[in-house]
Amino acid sequence: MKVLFNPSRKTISPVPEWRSRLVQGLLLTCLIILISRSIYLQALNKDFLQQQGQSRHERVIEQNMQRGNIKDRNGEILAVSAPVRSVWIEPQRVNATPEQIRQLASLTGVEEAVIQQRIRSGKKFVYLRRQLPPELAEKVAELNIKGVNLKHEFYRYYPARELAAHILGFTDIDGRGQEGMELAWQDMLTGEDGKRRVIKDRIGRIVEDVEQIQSPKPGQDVVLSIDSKIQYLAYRELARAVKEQHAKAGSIVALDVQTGEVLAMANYPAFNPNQRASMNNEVIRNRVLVDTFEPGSTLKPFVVAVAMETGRIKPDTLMETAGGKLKIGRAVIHDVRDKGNLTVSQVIQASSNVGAAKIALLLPPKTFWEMLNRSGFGTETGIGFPGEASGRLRAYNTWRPIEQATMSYGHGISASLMQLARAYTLFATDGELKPVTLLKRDMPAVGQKVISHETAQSVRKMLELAVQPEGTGNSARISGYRVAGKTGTAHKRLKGQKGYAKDRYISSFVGFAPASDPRVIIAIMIDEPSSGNYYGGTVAAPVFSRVMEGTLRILNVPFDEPLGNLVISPVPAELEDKG
Amino acid sequence: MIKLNIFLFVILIICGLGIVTARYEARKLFMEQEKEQKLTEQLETEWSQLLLEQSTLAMSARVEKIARKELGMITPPTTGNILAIHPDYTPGTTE
Repeated sequence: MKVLFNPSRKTISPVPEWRSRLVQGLLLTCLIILISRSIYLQALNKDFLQQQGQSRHERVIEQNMQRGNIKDRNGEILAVSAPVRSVWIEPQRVNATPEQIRQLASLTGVEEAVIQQRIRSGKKFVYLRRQLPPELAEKVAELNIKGVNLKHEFYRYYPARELAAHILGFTDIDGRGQEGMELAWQDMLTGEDGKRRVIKDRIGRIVEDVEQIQSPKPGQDVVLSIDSKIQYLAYRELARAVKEQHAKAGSIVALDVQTGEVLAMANYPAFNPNQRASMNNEVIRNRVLVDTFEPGSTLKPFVVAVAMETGRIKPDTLMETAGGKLKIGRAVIHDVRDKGNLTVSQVIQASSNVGAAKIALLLPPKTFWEMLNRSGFGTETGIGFPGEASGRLRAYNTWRPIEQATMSYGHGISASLMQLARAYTLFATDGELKPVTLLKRDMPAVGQKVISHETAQSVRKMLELAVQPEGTGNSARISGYRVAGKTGTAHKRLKGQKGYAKDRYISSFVGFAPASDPRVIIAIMIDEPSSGNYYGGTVAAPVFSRVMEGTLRILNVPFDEPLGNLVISPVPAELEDKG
Repeated sequence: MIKLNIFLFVILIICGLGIVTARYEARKLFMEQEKEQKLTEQLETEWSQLLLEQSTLAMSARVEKIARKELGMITPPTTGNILAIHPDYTPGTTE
């Protein structure tokens, strides 16, 4: 059989014209759609799409910077920030099995029900647990639950606990200073958090740095003028005295005479800044700077100094103090003991109110006011401590004679313990009022000249007499050193009404040593001693003696007197170990 | 002309491969740097914890307690002391 192929035979019908055109048209339409779509995406929506794409793998990371440490003058740490982690959740994204929730609960110490409740809260950001130790946080991260994140934070720790609590203050949970130096130097201590944009891969590793949005700045350290050994000693002895005397409270401050640096500053009762539960308004107050009191007899040297300065008296001028009473108008000023007529030196030594009042009445009010004002009373010390009190020194044109008289022995005027201690730099130096600071200074500071060299020297001699066996402050003496100082015993003002409480006192002592070349001023205030003693000489002076002796030893100050047979400082007090 | 084109094409390929390797290397080094930074962070954490521990252990109250109670130490009384002052001593220094 033969099959012939004959192309001319009409075995296949010809393709109709419209079909090929249809295909052509369809293909062209598809092409146009594709091109316009790509123009739409590439040109019109480019920015939006690129941004979306980047946000899928780009992240902005915050770099938290550590808060600066606070150190004492010898570089010992007083406040330090330790890294911790906070666990936070994005409730809408959380996807966890009950088993994972259970583990999360046991790691963070938050109850399961609470976790469930927070997940259901529907918010965008919820803290689950603040300040978790890094080891535990590591385990939380290992659970790898979606929507559970960690944040780097810092926990502020104060190794000295209550010793320096009032100076340092504390921070809140977000690391912002709330009190004390933490608040005063907040700007210097906090660093600036950094921000950088990075690209992360699918499993969350950072693969590329895109840009640094904000460069981080670590917080700077603050070096205080405090010497932690002296601080410890001061706190220990203060706590002991307050407890022994059943007092309400007490304060102590130690100043370096030449530099004006605060070597120690303590209050009792104190608080542990590591335990927020131990804080209340009563204990967190830095009484040395924030509270004022009527200083009592510790103010007498100032009236003597100004009267000598204006040439009205000399150290051996005899004052008519016999009888121990002075009537001014309807008021009567008493002495504790009548010792006959006293010289000006003896007025200071025996702390005679009548003598001081008579000296004050020799002066025009303005002269006396100027002296007190230039000694720093009634104005802040400029130490830069939050909430510092300025005390009260009324304008001289409102003074009545009785007020001028009582002010000479420290009533009707109020001052903080710091003001009082600083004012004594007049007598410890050659009449200069030194600026005080809580920051390490090292260089001797130049003060303002208030009284002459001669007056300062004579008052210093009187203050030395006041701690001799026949003076009121004899228990302030230290074996091996010459000491100068003044006791103070003041009735407390009645709260909310005029007048003074009969049986409530503030006992104080301000002094410096060694008297031949003063190095340290220490001021002590005991509020309401109620164990029977209330004189500054029996309550506050022994504290001065013990703290000053230790301080001079710590500072390696050479003796300026042959070692006598004074018996002082038997067994030191012990701090109970709490928390 | 063809020769030049082939030559340029080869160079293009080499450059392309070069970019790929450079990019790969860069990522690898970056990862390493990240790792080192993590380590720095870890060491910093450790350091501040040690600092904390040290300052807690060196607390004056604790040192005094151990010195007095466990070691039976006392502060020597000032009486009976002999003070030797170095000729170079100037008041105001603690050395």
